[in-house]
Amino acid sequence: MTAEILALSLQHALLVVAAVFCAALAALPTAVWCARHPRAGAYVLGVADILQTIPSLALFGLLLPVPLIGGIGPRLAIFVLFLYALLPILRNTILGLQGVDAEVRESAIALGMTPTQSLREVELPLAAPSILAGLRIATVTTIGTATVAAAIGAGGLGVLLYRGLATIETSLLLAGAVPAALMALAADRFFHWIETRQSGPQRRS
Amino acid sequence: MIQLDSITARRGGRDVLNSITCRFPIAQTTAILGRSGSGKSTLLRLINRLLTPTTGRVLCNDRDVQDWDPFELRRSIGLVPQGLGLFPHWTAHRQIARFGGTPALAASLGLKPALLNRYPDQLSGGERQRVALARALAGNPPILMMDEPFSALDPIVRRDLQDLILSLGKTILFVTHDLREALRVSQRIVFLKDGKLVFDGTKEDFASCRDEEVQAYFRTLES
Repeated sequence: MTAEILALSLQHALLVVAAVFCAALAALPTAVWCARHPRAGAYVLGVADILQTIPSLALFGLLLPVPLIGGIGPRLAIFVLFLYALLPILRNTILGLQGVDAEVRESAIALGMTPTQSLREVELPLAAPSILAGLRIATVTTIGTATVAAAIGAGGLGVLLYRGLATIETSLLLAGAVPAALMALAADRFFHWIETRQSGPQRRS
Repeated sequence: MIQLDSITARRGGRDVLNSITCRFPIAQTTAILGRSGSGKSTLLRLINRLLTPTTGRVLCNDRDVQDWDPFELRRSIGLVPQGLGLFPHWTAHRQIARFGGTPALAASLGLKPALLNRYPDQLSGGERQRVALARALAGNPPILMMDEPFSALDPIVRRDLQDLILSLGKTILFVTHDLREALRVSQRIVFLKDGKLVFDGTKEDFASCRDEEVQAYFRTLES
């Protein structure tokens, strides 16, 4: 049993890491673009907002027959989790970038920095606490949502939950729920740790 | 030499600057004087292309600034913005070194080495001002623009920094609404009122300017 819990936990973690990693890769550049084009950015945020409101079980069901991403297995699960992870990362990155003091941004440009230099050296570091918070929220919620992935045969700790529900076996439910909760807590702590390290005593803003 | 040639700048349906023609000669200090909202800060932003004029041209060394590479243009014009715009996540040293400034430059501006390891929020107002000035001068630009650089300083630090800046021998443009400061620091004065040019000339000629608002400014000196 222990071996199974460990194996499923590992599978669960892999689903989450893959989904959040892909979401970060997609959301960070999109957020930078949205922050630079606020009007169009509002539409992008709107779309991400709507995605977030679709119940995850329904989204799994709706995408199941879609070619390339559909079908039973982890591929579809990762894709759906990816969609859910987009919004918090997008929103927090945009807010973080927009929160950079206008005069600080202007002086970077006035000093002859290119937009890329300003972004890399000034705007992203100053937005980092907000971006990290976005990644933290995305990871923690994805750990929870990933339990639904078992419904489409993608594995993870949801397997134990569904088995527990079907057999009305509390110990199985706990075996799925407790590791998922611990994983979420650990992820939360991890990101908090990075946040404090990154904004240590010398880096107050 | 910087020249503004019939510059109009329209922002939000309003002419912030209206057909301004004036010049800022090489190696002279010009005070841009006027009340709040008269278009002083906008004028500075047109010169380093943070803003583009609606009509008219800005010439820097006889070349339209629109024809300059914007990054090269900005690197040849040091700017100290009104709120300083220091990078809160960088030490004083990094703010200056990133743009090519040396510790010697910092020292010449009265920044002691111990201060250079501090972040902006660990510095006093006067120290922050010096850091912003050192950063603006880091690339050794021939032109220096300052937007109300001395307004938040105590009179002694203020005098100290004014003298320091004058000793640099640069083409200096500084925005102020303080006539006493303008007369003390500058050779030339550009006076703006509601986005229009009222006076452009030497400070000696300025006192004989008949404009009502200019005279009102001079009356503040008497009291």
